[in-house]
Amino acid sequence: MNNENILSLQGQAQIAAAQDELLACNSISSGFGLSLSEAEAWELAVCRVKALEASGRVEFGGGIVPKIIYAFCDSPYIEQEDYEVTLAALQESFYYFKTEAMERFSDDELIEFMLEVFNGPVHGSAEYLIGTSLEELVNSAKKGYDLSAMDSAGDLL
Amino acid sequence: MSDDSRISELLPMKDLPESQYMLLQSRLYMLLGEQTEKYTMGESTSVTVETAQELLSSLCYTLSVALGNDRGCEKLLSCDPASLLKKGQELLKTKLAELKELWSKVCRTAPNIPNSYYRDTLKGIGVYLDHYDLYFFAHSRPACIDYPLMVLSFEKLQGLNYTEMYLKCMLAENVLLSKFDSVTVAKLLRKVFPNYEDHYMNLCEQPLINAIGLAAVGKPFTGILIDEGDMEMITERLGDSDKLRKGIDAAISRIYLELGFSDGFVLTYLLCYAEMLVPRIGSVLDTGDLSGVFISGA
Repeated sequence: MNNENILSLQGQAQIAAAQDELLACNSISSGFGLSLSEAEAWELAVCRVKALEASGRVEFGGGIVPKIIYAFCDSPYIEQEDYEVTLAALQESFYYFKTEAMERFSDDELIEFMLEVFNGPVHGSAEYLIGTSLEELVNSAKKGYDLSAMDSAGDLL
Repeated sequence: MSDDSRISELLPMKDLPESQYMLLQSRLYMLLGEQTEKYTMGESTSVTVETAQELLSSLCYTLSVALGNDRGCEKLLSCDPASLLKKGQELLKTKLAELKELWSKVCRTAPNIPNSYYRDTLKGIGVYLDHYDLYFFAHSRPACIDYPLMVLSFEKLQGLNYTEMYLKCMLAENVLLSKFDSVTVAKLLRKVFPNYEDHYMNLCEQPLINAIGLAAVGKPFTGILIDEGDMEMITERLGDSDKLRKGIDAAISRIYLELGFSDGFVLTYLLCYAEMLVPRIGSVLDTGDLSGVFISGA
């Protein structure tokens, strides 16, 4: 009998499906000069599985990266040469902080916050976004902070 | 608990060929994905592993309810999982309504003997039934259960199945206790534990043990108080490993018949308790002193 954990089926079944979904996003992002190759999309899909496992999460369906792509593709701070790396960093931090914030934020709320800070105070630095604002956001969430009540992402810098 | 053991505990997966097992796993996986989306109301594409495992347990429990006594794999593989899930949820809705009635009955028949564990557990079960989530946490059991039943042999049950069994046992004990005078019961309990009102203990057990002792020696037993003479007779009647089992069984039968019970569950419960009582008495036979089991002089 196969001892495969049912939840680990996501790793096997979804990588290829996720890759297809990511490549489909090129139809939108290419308008902003950004696109993923098949290899890059595969890598991102594999990174997704690892990021989910590292953050103790399970995801059904295509994943969060398409939403991240649609949100970030018109950012003035993302260029083709660092597109895949930036997406991977944003994906990983999204899952990590989603768990750390104890599910207090919906996907859209968290992405909106990340975008606002990324395009704003941190000037496209994913590292700075992750190391400062997202940490602050999580700490605020643990204290019962209401994201909808905050006045722009600048409150959390 | 691994997901495989979580699933196979509730669903008839044993001995399935690997291909069918994988097919079943993939069906459950898809169903779990749909359940997760409903749970997050579409606001999140991902959940924590712990949440997914809880949703999976709920799913498996609900499917097992739908399968009922039909534990064959064929139904699990041939039926549309979503329809089976819906059927399970409908059955749980009906069972929930029945259990609310049963809980009310337990409340109405609760003994007039104060005990904080009894009271808080019964109250907590009421809250659990009011807030029971049959869609996402159907497998959950009341977290408040502190009161120790005389017999607890259904630990493997889940969700409403567990709750139903617990309430049925509580009701059986209520009914038994109602046959004895509550003032006398309180006196006896006070002898066992001076502060029985706040002690972690079963209210029915000692009165029943005394009743069994008196019934075993042919004495009237609803009074449940044992004097020295009674104790000598009980020790003589039950103080022999050959006579013990027969004596207890005969006492149980007498209690059941003379108290006018017709509920088969009460008889089963009494017999299950006898299974526990016999070795307990047996362990002190060598000493010839049964005063630690049958309490006299209350």
